[in-house]
Order: sequence, then structure tokens, then C-alpha cells
Amino acid sequence: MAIAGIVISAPQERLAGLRGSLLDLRGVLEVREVAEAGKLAVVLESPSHTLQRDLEEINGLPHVLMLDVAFINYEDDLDSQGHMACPPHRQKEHGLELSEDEAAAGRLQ
Amino acid sequence: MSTSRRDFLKYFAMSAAVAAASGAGFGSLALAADNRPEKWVKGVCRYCGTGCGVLVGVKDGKAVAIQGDPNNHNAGLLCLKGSLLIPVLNSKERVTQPLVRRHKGGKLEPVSWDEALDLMASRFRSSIDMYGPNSVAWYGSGQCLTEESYVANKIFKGGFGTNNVDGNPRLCMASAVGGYVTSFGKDEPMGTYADIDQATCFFIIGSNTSEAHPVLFRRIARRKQVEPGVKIIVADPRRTNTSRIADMHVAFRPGTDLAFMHSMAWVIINEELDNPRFWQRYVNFMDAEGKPSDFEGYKAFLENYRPEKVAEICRVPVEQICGAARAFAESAATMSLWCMGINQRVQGVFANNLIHNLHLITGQICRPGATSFSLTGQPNACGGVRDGGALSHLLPAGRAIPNAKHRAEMEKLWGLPEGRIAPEPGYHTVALFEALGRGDVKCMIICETNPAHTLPNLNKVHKAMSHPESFIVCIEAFPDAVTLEYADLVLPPAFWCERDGVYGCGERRYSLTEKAVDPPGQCRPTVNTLVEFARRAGVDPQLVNFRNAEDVWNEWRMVSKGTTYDFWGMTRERLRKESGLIWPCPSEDHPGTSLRYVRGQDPCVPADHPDRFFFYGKPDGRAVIWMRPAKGAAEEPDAEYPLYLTSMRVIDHWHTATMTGKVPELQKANPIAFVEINEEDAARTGIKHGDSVIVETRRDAMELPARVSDVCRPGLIAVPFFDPKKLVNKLFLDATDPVSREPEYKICAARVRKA
Repeated sequence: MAIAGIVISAPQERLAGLRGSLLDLRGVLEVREVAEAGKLAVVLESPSHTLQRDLEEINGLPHVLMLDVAFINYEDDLDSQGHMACPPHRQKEHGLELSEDEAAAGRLQ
Repeated sequence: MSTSRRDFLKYFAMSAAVAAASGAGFGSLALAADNRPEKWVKGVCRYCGTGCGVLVGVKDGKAVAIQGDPNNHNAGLLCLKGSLLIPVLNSKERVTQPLVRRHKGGKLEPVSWDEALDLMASRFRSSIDMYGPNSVAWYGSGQCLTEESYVANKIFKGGFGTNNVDGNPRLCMASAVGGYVTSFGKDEPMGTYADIDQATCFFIIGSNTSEAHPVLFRRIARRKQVEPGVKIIVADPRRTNTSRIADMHVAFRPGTDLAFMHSMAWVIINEELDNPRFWQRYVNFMDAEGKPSDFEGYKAFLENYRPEKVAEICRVPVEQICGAARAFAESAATMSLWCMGINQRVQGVFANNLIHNLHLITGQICRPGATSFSLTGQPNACGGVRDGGALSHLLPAGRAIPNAKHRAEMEKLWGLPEGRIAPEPGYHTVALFEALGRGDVKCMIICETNPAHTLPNLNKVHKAMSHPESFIVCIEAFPDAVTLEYADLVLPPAFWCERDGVYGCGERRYSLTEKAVDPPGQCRPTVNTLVEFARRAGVDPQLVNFRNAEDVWNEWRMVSKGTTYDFWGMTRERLRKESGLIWPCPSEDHPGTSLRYVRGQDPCVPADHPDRFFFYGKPDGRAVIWMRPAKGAAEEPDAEYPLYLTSMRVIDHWHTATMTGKVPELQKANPIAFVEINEEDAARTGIKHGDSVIVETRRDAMELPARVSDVCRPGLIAVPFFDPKKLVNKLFLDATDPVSREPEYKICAARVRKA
């Protein structure tokens, strides 16, 4: 499992509500308000191969203005040779989101 | 993972996030840092030209973690691409040993380093001996380290005596170089990223900053968030994510941006929003033929670009032209940002000049927040290639091949006999591959770039690279790069933080990436490879007397000394301690320079200079406002091909996706190219979202899935270029800007139909 420290920017008045939404998400372990900066500091635990998807899910929450990454540790996901697979890259298209199943089926290829 | 270790990492993750969120830097991380078992090694992100500082966490000799460097300009933050660099570094999909193709059409097979270097040296040597030095070439990259580009440049220009040294920055920023040099006399921006925090108006043209430079985009968005009066104007034929934060989005017809900017200048002058105190003292005017003119001449020239007329040309409302002009001129500090939409054009240099014109006529320049700032696409195109002079017409530190004095200076600095550096520029990129196809260039090193994927008019390029007499050496980390299909020899480089070296990003900041881990297999630092190759190819050993990258850096510092690029003060030791320094930085106690051309800020401006600003690149110290006519694209739509086709980027991928496209489950994650079509155009041709369509140009045709949306303006379609299975650059033409020789990727004529 990768462990990430991320920063969420949101309107000041939405921080409290957003904190609740984040804590409902899979893998979100802790959310701390950095109120003076209008930001939330979040710890997310996620398998490397779904990390990007989970980060994008957070980025897509209502009222999230920006998501930045401050830290990621991958050490759990290295194999005995020190190798690891790269996470799959989902297309983030304008107006069309592929589900994993659709992408797997190569529906649009 | 043990509970305590997991708890520690959670604690560290939260500490890093809180520190980055509050801008607290290392201080709040100190406790965690003291307790951590890993080593943190400082470096620079491997992706775009933003040049974000990173810290790579190492455990048991392997890179296991990454965090943004709190002390660099990115203040501890990274974008998604950058934060996913560790899996790329640790991927099994690497070239880890030299490979040779013993005959054209055969397979690549393992070979020893010794045999590989001997073969390479003998092929280059015999080619030079039989056909002359111009039969060999270097095609480098803005991803090479500065030291790698410097050594290659020296070997080819000083050692072999050919100026056939070019690289992929020719494809992305050569027009920005041409713009800065013709307007100010010197390349590179006068400001820094810190200007974002001071600007009150942003004029973003031809840049999808949101997807191509996400960390900078967030800084712009933050500026707008904390300073409510800040205005953002985005001028782009596509309604990109960048335009979604804009106060005004100007979706002009492709290729009409020069007319649009001239019209803005017309409004500024006719509404007396210009700054005569500035332009009278610091500006010269040059007419369309490049002859000296004056303000009245400029004013008369702009009569051709009255807003009513230009609104029809651009197909935008008159109010947008006037509104953009007023916002630009009336702001306390206006910052322009642009990228490929301006540069990758046959009028790329002219378009760059017109952005500078707007700053010069309003005096919106050389003040905090007021600056014209070209964004760059690669991590070291500025530092290694532009500043290092690793292009066919350049020499290091702003020197030029055609200038006899500059050649003589470099011959002296490099210890070469007089006249050793050839006086004629070498082939620029498009011409270089044409020469390869003719058989005039026989041997080429391609280093850390993928021209069989990225060059325009690719079918022609592939034919050229298949020439039976060619000998192509690729120094390439990733086995899936399309270019390797044409390689006769593949050499495995140490990648990113597997070796040490300097990157110079878009704000003139040089940062050191320190070696964090050993490279896999037989991978070697490219500096070592080049030095060994040169020795075996008969280059004077004194010319490449480098033990390591630090030796190269120290020579390069010496070469910069006393020039207007002077970074003598950036010792390796200092770069190890600091998170980058911005040149000019002439002495070890100099803090670096945020504002160029400003007395008291820029060490190249004499402290007793009578004027506050001094554009020392020009003989009389005055920048130039150019009257560049707006001419349009090399290939405009017509009855046969009625649509504009443009090239674009998506946030998920960087360049040819050899790094970002790596996936464990190929079927699931293969990147898919597509074509963006406006809803009106789609309705007219019966195309629905998701349909397979044929995109056709005069060069080729390609089947792609359609994305129907309102992103493109009507009449425009767009394709991303990352997908190796759909080499969309086969569609584009290879017309180039006559000054910069940068190809026009951004506009050609196309048609589209259902498959």
C-alpha cells in the first residue's frame, strides 16, 4: 500500500463539510484542517495501482478547487528485486470518463 | 509493514501535507526528519519545464518515496505526474544492457559495452574520414542533464568539427528563443515564477497551463483566490481547463492571434493606455522590413488591425479585443504566459515578438508581477540546450555560430586551434532528418528523446531513418520508445536520480539532482558514455578530460563566467545545499537574480547606469517593438480539407508516454488517442460521441475515436500526440518558422468522416 500526504484547497466555508466527505472515502485515514490557509491536509492509504484513481476521485469531489501531492511512500509495493509496476493511467477526457471495465474491454479502441 | 513503521509513515505524510499547506517548509518537518530511517536526496522532477524540486526517499538502496521540496519554488507540492515518478524509476521496463542490430531489419541483441562503444566509435570515425564531419550528428533533448548536453556539444562542435548538434527543444521553444533574442537581444525570461504572486492580470495565450504545467496553474489559481481583483484572460481556440478559471476566454480562429495582439495594441494606443515614459526611453521601433521606425510608424502600421476588422478575422466579439487590451494595460502588473500554441507556428517568432510588444508599449515589464514569461515543456531545455548552446546555430552562454568573435572565444576556452569551429550553422531538426534520408548524414546519436514519435510529417521521417546507410545510436532508458525500431545500437543510460547533474528550468533556475540510487543492470551515466565514445573515436583526450559530471559542471561555469549568463557562483557544493539558484549569479556570495535588466537587481547592469532599465542585449540598450505582419498558417483549411487540425496535450501523459504510459495490465491501461470535435461540426457530419472516425490530412489518414464536446471551437479538431499506437504526427506538416525553424504542429488543414 502506498501512503500519501496530500493538500486539498477549497473555499473556507466548505472545509468542514469537505472534511466529512473525505473521511467517507475508501483509504482516507486522516484529515486535518489548515484553516488559515483554506486547506485540508489529508493522509490517504491506497494500493499503488489505484492511487491515481483515488486521487482523482478526491479531486472530483464537490468544492475541491485543487489537489496537490506533498508526499508518497511506495515501499510496501516493491517486489523482492526492488521493482514495482507503474499504476495504470486513466484517461481524463473532457466529457467522457471511461470506467475500468470499459477501458479493459478496449471499447473505444 | 509493521504497525510502528506504518504509523510513522502516516505521521510523516500528515506532517509533509501540513507543512506544504501552511507553507511552513522544513521547520515543521524537523521532528519527523530526525526520526526517519530513510535517506532523503534532493533532486528535480523529471517531467515538464516547471522544474519542481523533489526529495527522493531511499531505503535499502531503492527509491521508495517522494515529496515536494519545501524549499524550492513549488513549496513542497507536486502534481500527479511528478508524484508518480518512483514507479517509473523502479519499473522493470528498462533498457539495462547495450543492444545491437547487426543488420538492417534484424533484431536487437545484447552486446558488451566494449563492443558497442568500439562499433560506435569506428562507424563515426570512418564516416568523418570518408564523408567529412558533417556526415555525423547529435540529436539531443531537453531531458538530458546539462552536463550531458555540454559534453555532446563540445565533442561534436569542437572535437569532430561539425555543428550538426540539434535537439527536441527545436520543436517546442526555438520560437521563444527567437522572440526573446529579437526583442531584447538575449534569450530567456526576465522574470521568475515568483512574479505569479505579484501579478494582478494574467494574459495566457497558447498555453493549456492547467494540463501542461499544473503546479504553476495552481499557483495562478491561488493568486486569484487570495487577491479577488486579479483578472485572468485566456486566449486559446480550445476551451481548455485553463480557460475555466478565466474572467475572459478569447476563442479566436486558429492562426489569427497575431492580428488579435496587434489589435490589442491598437486599442491600448488609441485609448492612451500606453506608457510613453517607458517606451520613449527604453524602446526602438522596427518596421515590417526590419528597418528602424518610430512610434508614429507603429501607430500607422496598427491601423490595419482596428478591432472591428480584426474581430471578423478572429471571429471574436470586438468587446473581447477591447476588454483584453484594457485589462492588460490598466492592471498594476500584467504577466503573460505562453507555450506551444504560440511557439509551434510558422509565425512563432513573430507571435512571441507581439507578446513582448504589448509589455513594452505599456511598460508592463521588469517589475515584480509585470513580465512576459515563456513556459517550457521539458525539464532542461532551458538550462542544458538553450543556455548551453546545444542547437545547430548556437554556442554556449548566448554565443552564436555565425559570430566569428563568439567562435574564437569558444575555441580559446576549449583549447582548440583557431578556426576549428565551423562557421556555418548545422542542420536544424527537420533538415537534419531530411539529410539523414538523403544519405548526407550517415551517423547520428539520439539521446533521451523519441523523434520517430514526435517529429511532424512522420512518414517522411520514418523513411529517412530507414536509410540503408544510416547508423543510428539511441541512448534510451525505455524499450518501448518508437525510435528504437530504427536504432542500430541502443545504449542504456542511468535515468533521473541514478546519476547526478543539473537541470535548468523555465525561470533560469539551476537545480542539482543528486544521485540517490544505483542504476539497474549495465546502465551508465551518459557523461561517461560520451567521454568514452569520444576517446575511442579519436577526439583529443584533453578535450574530454572529465572524470565525472562535476568536472563538466565546473568547466561550464568557467565558460559562462563574464557573460550575461554568468553562473560562476553556482558551485556544486552550493547547489547541493540550496534548492536551486537563478542566474546571473556571478559570485559564490551572490543570491541569484530575480529581475533581469534592472539596475540594482541584475549584476549585468552596471550599478551606476543612468537608467533604471538596461536591455544590454541590444547595442543601444533599448528593446524592440516589431511591426510583424499577421500572415496566417502554412496550410489553411480549404474546400477539400475544411477543418483546422491542432496538436494538444492531456494531463495524464507527458510527451510520448514512455514514462507515463507504463502499465502493469496493458490491455486495461493502454493509452488511447482520440480526436476532439465540436458539437456543431459533429452534428453536421453525423458523428456521435465515441464513434470511430477517419481524420485525414494531405499527409495521412488515421482512425480515432471521437470525443464530441464544446472544447474545440467550431471548425477546429484536436488530437493528443502521446499514443505510440496512433502516431498522430503523421498527419501534421513539417513547415517551419523561417527564423526559429520550429515546425507548425498547431495548425494544418484536415477533414473528418465516420469510419
